[in-house]
Amino acid sequence: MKNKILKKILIVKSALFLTIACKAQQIYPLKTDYTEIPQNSYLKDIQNELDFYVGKWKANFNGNTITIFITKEIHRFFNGTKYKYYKDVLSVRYMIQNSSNVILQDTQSLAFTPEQIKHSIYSQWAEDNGNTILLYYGGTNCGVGWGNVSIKKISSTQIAWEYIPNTTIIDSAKCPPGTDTTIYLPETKDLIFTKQQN
Amino acid sequence: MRKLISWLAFTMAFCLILLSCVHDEIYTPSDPASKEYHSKSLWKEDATFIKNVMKIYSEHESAISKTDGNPVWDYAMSMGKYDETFMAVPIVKNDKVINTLVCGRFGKKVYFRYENSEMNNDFFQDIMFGTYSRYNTEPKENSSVNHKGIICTTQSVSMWYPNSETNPDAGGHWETSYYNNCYSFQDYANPGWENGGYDYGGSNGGGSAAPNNQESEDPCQKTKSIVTNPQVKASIDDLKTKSTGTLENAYKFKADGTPSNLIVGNAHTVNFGDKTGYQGGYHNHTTGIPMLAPADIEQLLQFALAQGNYGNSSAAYVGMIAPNDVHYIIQFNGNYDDALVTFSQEDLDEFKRDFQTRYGLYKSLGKTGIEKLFFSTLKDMNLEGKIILQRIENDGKINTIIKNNDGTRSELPC
Repeated sequence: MKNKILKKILIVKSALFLTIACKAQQIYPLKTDYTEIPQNSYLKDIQNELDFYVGKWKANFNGNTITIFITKEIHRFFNGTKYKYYKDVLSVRYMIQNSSNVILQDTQSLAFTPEQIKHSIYSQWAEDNGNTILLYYGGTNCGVGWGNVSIKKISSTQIAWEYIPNTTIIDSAKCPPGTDTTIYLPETKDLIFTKQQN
Repeated sequence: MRKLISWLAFTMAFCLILLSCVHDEIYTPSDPASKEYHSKSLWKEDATFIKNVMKIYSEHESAISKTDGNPVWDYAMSMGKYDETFMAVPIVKNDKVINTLVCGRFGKKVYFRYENSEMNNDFFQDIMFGTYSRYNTEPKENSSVNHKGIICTTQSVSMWYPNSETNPDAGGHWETSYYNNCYSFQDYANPGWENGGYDYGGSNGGGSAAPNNQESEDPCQKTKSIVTNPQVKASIDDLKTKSTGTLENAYKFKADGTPSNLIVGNAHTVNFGDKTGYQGGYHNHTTGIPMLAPADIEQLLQFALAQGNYGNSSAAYVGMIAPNDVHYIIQFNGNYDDALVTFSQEDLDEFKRDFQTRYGLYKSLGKTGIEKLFFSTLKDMNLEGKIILQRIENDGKINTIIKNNDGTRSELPC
């Protein structure tokens, strides 16, 4: 009799465990095609490859001062129309000032909506044994300048920046004439950013 | 009791004989020299067409045959078509399928071509020589016209390979073999193909409205007429020189090829402007992903709408020139209502983010990767089957790129 009860308890426990296990979120490495995995999966920074880049970095390019502010967001939810997933990401905000210290563009002070892609820069995954991080820039107004950014470790205080924008066919219906579509981010390769103390 | 045992023994022996008969039926390839046709296919075939093609082949064998092997007609398959339009036959040498020969009828003429496809060779090899003990023919997705002017034919079979031939139920595994063939009407209309133009005298030889006869909708012919139009060609050549520059540029073209003035954009933007009166347009990419992007696809819809409700929406096209001789064109493959799709800026932003992410994952595959990228984006935009992608080589050769049912892509030379 006692054995029977014990058996029943074991079965119920196993069933419970299985139910919980089946509902558990599936975890994948950062370099995963989120369009091919179950919805609400988690792309995790398993190797802690993102941490090094967190902080404030500065560079000069064509007379402008570029300051980037990098933070790490753990388990950020990307609630896309087609694809929904969680991901550990670096989020990059930036401020660009000309030689007279006039601010040309500042996304650090902008309030983003949760699914905003415009002006956003989020990391994708690490390449080169974790020494390079690929990021996606959603572009400025009208999506102009959308493209790939990469940052590469040079030393403990320096990273090299590369930005490759794609072409955008703009349409006056969506992008009225007069809209500022200037790309302020430095479109260049091997631009050295130096880490700032604060 | 003794009677029962005898009856059981008799039944078992009878079943065994029956089984071995079936076994022979499946495995024994026909004598290549045999001129009689006795189908050993796993499916019902278009026997009339196969027999007629056999006759034509035997009359013109020296001109058609390009291999050492022999066609094994008993395994010829019409791949689910029964209107005397298509069949494929394995070419066998020393018990190995070395190629497949397909024959298509277009009106009163038939045309032949070798497929040179390892996948299709394996399909016939497995069926003819595989040591399977049973099989399951999958539901067919054949004869589907995926795109205007293009027919894709697929066939598949799953076969059980037992670990032990003497005891096939003791264990084993299933394997699936696939046959896939896509061709455009232009393939056969062009006499430059392997062989063709033989008169067909079958029951449909009068040239019925067979589905193979839609040359007027041929995407190859359409693109050829666009890119060889002297005015369009001059404009495309101009964009090629500008693709290594720093500014985006574009041209719009009227139906007769008359170009607009050069549209000079900014570093990474260009605006086609009003499309009224224009059939399509071309632009250049100077940096970034060498493929037509989500916003380019949206522009194609707008060119389609610009043809008007009673115009020819499917005449619309958008082309793209990128560094390193990359040249793609997309054609609209739908009607006016199909083009009535709108995307918000936020929709496009999301498509572009997924586009860039996939590019990072697929780019190591070269052109295969960027073409896969394009088809994934079309799917996300719910425009699958509504747009035809073609790649134009530097020497002017055009390839229509097809997404197969199994997710892979094929290219069909025009």
